[in-house]
Amino acid sequence: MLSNGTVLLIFLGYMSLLFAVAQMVERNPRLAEKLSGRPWIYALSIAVYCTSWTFFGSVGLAAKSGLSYLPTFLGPTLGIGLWWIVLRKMVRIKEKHHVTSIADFISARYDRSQAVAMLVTLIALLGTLPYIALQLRAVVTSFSLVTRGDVDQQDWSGIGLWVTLSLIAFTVLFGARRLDPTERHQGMMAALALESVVKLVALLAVGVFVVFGLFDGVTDLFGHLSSAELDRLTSVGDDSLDSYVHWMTVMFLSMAGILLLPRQFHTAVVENSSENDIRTAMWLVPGYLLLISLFVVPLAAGGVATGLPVELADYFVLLLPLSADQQALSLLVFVGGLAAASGMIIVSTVTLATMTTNHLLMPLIDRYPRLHSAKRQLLPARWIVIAIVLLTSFVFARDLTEGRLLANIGILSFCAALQFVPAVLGGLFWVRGNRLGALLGLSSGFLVWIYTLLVPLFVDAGVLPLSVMSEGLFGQMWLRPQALFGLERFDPVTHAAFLSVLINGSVYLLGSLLVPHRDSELEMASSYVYALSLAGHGEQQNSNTHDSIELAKKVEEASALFRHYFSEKICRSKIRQITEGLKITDKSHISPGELMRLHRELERALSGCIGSAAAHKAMSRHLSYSEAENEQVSRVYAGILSNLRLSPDELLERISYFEERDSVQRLHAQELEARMLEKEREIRARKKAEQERSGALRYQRLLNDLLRCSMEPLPLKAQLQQALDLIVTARWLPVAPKGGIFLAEPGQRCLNLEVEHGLGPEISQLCQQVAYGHCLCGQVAETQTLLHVPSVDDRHGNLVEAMEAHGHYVVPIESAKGLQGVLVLYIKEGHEPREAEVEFLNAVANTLGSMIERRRMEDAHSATQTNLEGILNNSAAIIFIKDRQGRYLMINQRFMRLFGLEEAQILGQTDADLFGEVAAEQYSMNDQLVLISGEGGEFEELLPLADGMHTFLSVKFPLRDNKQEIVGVGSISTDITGRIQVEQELQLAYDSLEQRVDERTAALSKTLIQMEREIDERIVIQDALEHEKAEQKALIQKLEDTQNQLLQSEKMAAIGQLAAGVAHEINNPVGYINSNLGSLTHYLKDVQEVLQCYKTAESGLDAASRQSVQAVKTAVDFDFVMEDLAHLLSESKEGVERVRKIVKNLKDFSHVDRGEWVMANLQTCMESTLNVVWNELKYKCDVVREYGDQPEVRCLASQINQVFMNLLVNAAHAIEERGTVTIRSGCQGRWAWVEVEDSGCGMNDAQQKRVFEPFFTTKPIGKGTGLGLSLSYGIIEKHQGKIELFSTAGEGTRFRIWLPVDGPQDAESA
Amino acid sequence: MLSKPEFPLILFCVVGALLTWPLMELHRQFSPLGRLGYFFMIWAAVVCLYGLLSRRLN
Repeated sequence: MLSNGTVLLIFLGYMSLLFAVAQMVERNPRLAEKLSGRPWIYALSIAVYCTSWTFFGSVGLAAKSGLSYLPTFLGPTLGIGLWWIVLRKMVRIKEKHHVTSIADFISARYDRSQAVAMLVTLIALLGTLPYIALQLRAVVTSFSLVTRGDVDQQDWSGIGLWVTLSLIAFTVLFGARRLDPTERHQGMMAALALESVVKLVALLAVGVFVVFGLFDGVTDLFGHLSSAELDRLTSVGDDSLDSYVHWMTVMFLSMAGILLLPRQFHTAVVENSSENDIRTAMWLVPGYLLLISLFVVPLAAGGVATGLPVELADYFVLLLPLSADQQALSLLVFVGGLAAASGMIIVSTVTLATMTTNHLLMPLIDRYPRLHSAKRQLLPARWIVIAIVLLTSFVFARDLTEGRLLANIGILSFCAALQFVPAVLGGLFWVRGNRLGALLGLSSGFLVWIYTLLVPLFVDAGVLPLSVMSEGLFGQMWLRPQALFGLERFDPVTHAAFLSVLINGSVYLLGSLLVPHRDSELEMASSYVYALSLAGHGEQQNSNTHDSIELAKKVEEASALFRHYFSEKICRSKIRQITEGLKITDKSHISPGELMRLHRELERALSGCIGSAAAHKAMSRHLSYSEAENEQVSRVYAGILSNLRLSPDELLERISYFEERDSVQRLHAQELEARMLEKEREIRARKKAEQERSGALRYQRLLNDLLRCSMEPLPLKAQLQQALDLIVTARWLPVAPKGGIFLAEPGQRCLNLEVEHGLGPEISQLCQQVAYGHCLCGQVAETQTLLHVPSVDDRHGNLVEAMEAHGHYVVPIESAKGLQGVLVLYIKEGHEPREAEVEFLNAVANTLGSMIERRRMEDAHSATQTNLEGILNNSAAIIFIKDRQGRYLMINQRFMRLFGLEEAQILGQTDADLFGEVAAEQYSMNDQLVLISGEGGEFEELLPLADGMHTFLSVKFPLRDNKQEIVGVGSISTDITGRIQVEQELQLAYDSLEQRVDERTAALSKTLIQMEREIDERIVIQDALEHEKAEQKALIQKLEDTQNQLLQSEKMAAIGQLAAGVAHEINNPVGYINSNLGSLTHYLKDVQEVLQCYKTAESGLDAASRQSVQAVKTAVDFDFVMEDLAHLLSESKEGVERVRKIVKNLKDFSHVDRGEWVMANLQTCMESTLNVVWNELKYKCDVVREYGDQPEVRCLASQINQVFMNLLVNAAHAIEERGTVTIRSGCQGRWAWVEVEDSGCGMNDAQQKRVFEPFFTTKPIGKGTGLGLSLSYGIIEKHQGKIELFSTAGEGTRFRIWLPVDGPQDAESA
Repeated sequence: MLSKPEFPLILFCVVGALLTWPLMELHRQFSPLGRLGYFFMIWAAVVCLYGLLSRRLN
């Protein structure tokens, strides 16, 4: 920890350094001028937005609500996007009207209204006080942390007061040493820029230290957090809709705050020296905000990860280096926090002091003449205001901010600044916005702000009663401050912001719309709204006026006015500056126009000191116009108006008209522009179409040449070469004079280079044959898609050395019959494909494809013709064609040879000419049949040959022309004379063979049918056997189960018989023991009576005898023996009675003597069974009996006992240590039931399903046979009863047995 | 106000500000570190946009 003295020294040293910087800038004009040209100074000074709320509070907010801190930065970032319009306009207005504060800015717009200025000042004052308090609290707390390491011990009366007083002094030194705030505070701005750098460096340094010093990077840091903590740190609040609504509210508040908070307005507008600086600020300020918030979440994460209490999250930034014992870094952070707080405090206080003196104090002084002497004490008054503001903030911080998040206090001020939005935006963009609207809007918004945000603060502090919050003002629920008008939906901040802006804006609009503005407002409204469109211009000189007004008099008036506010020296200096600026210093008289300009400049100078509203009022009060001057000035205005040839009202109308006309002209200009653009588009489209037509023409010419080439009677190779030459030499194509055409070999999946142009021998040799898929051509053959290759790349399979750079178009040549080949063309390297080129090359490829296909078809046709001729001439048949008149048109060699005639002798002749009328009649008749029917047929015809008549089989068919009309008959006639003879012989052999086959087939069919029948029978038998086998298997299983049950039953019966026998045998001795014990008791009484007599007689004995008897009595302890005898007998009788009872129960249980259907009491059965198995139960469980009324049941009692025994023993076994077995009984209609429930281990579903199966047991091996429940199930089934099972694993099992009271219907047979 | 030449730009900015809502909603699908990166990336993009804009403004 550091000592108070050291930290105070650092505090003073830092503030002194700032002051030194400010002084250095202000005293060195060259430096000031240099810095004023540095837009980053301006941008960094705007970063005064980042106060201790940012420095400390953001981390606190992030630790508690994650990314909820972001809108404070994102809002300004988004809002800054509008600065080029909004801020530039404000700056221009500021320059024109010498605006000194936001109150001045708003009031000047609304007719220089003093009321508006007062109201704005009041809002700014009340809104900023909590914010300054917040800064003081941050400084004092960080002081406590650095010196004591504790935030709870804030020394408000010592350090707090001391710091406040120091800040008062520094604020006065920085911003209130002179009275003209219109001059920019370049020194203060330089100091603010330095402060912005310091706080950024400090926050980045501690961020880097935490992330990379305390932890090993961001991942390691976040790795130390639980997933819930990490999620909280990176979520927006609790991720609910309310959080997002709050998020958006804060974003809009911040968007307004970056410009409309009094200090922000001062730095961004009042201190702006050049509109161009806004451009730099537009990116530098958001960039600064981005950087300063970069480490907020890591710092919050660091605090959480190192276990710092979340209640101190606001000071994680300082606590982290302190806890790591980093003194230097802690001091840097302290200084950073101090920079963040002090910058805001100084600028805000200076601004508030200016506004308060100008807009609250001055009207007061003006109002009361006794106070007029105070006008010259404005500077000390400003100092006092500074002191009051800071001391009030000090009290506020000490008493009202305890226990609140820094961020929650800061938001109060943002909400207050939000109230300026309707008046400012309306003033900037809406001419009709007027004074009354602004006044009413601001008042209503301000009241809502006070009621919804300040009142809860005072309630929390105990200043106001709590009932105001819960029950509303005057007990009216709709007046609850945080649910005004019953609006309970939003959080307090959203609620306040929404309602205040809604009411403020609505009232502003209504006020402005319903009440017409004054004429005097119009000028200012126009100058605000059209600030960007109206360039600064000088007054138009009126040539008709002459210098007639005495200057000295006017200067004296001005001096008298100025002396109210300035010293004599300053007063003289300002008036001299103005007269020199107007170039009237040397004049004795001035014109009315110059008088107007002089007054305007005087008002501007005065407004720089006391605000435009007060200056306007002071001017109108103190400066007088003589009648002549009034007349002259009126003449000047009249002259201007007469030049315009308008009355004032007409001028207003004309302005409206010109505005309207301007808007119409704008629309017209936009329409013209749109038309021009359309025309340009049309021209471009036409040019493009022209180019396309020209290109298409060239393409068509080339295609025509290719078609012409294809028609020439040349071999395919020559045609292709000619076509390739045409393509590669077309200069308008972007191809090099190089290329080739490959032909696809049908069925071989390879391409052969058919023709080439300019490829050279090496490439030609290399590409002579290309397989599909290889190299570019092979790939195209494979894909049959055009390929564009911009340069030599990996796709080139065949490469040679020193190949020059080039690209390719590779086009598949296709026809209707598929791929015919590939056209490869060389293009310049890097050439980009164009759609028209690709279409054209596809067209070329199609033409080439058609050319190749046609040429190939012609070749094929020629070959086919040759083949046909060969077939015709070498055929063994005679082939001929005749026309419709029977004249031979074509014959083959065989025809000629057979008939020994030459071709010339036959062609043109008819059959009658060649073979005579008789033979020809038969041929002609067959021919006519074919010609008439139009269908072919086979005919046997006899032809006269040299060796006699031969039989020919003639296949005749009609011949048709292109129109499908029959033009002749074709015939293929084969000599079948020999074949007919062979056929006749074969027919005979066939007939014989067929008969034999029929016989054999009949025999085989018979055998086959018999075999099929046998197979069917065997299948039936086999099925029956299988069925029987399955039944036997089931029977065996059933038998085995029954046998096992029988065995168990027999065993139990045998045990029962044995038990009954033993009981019977025991019963006899027990009977006489019992009898004897009765007799013995009786005898003992007799003996005791005798002994009593002896005892009476004992007194008659002599002393020796009596002594002897007494000795014997003593030796045998006679009295005890006599006493104990009765006990012994009693106990023996009791034991015998118990034995009898056991024996009786044993007999009852076994029921050997009654193994038949009897009426039995189930409770008695249960009791006797309980006695038998008591030994099993007594050490493991308590037996609870809950018997109900139940009649006797017709049953096999011994078997029912066995069931009970099984259930009881199982219940005992199910209990691991000590438990309860509950036995219940009852009756329902004609059904009796008995229930045994244990509190044992229970059974799962699988066990429950199998529990009645034979040999299924859950007990350890050797402890159960698994037959008990199976047997019981069998017994209950035999009684036509049922057994129910209810069990839950881990809780217990309950068996309920239902038995018909009257027994089974066929009880005797069962 | 509607006829002012700067109105479309203001409208564009206001609509842009309103569009931050879907941008906000989008962050839910990211991991905690991803959310941080997402927000700061958008922020940085806006700053760059302003940088470019300020160069073109005259």
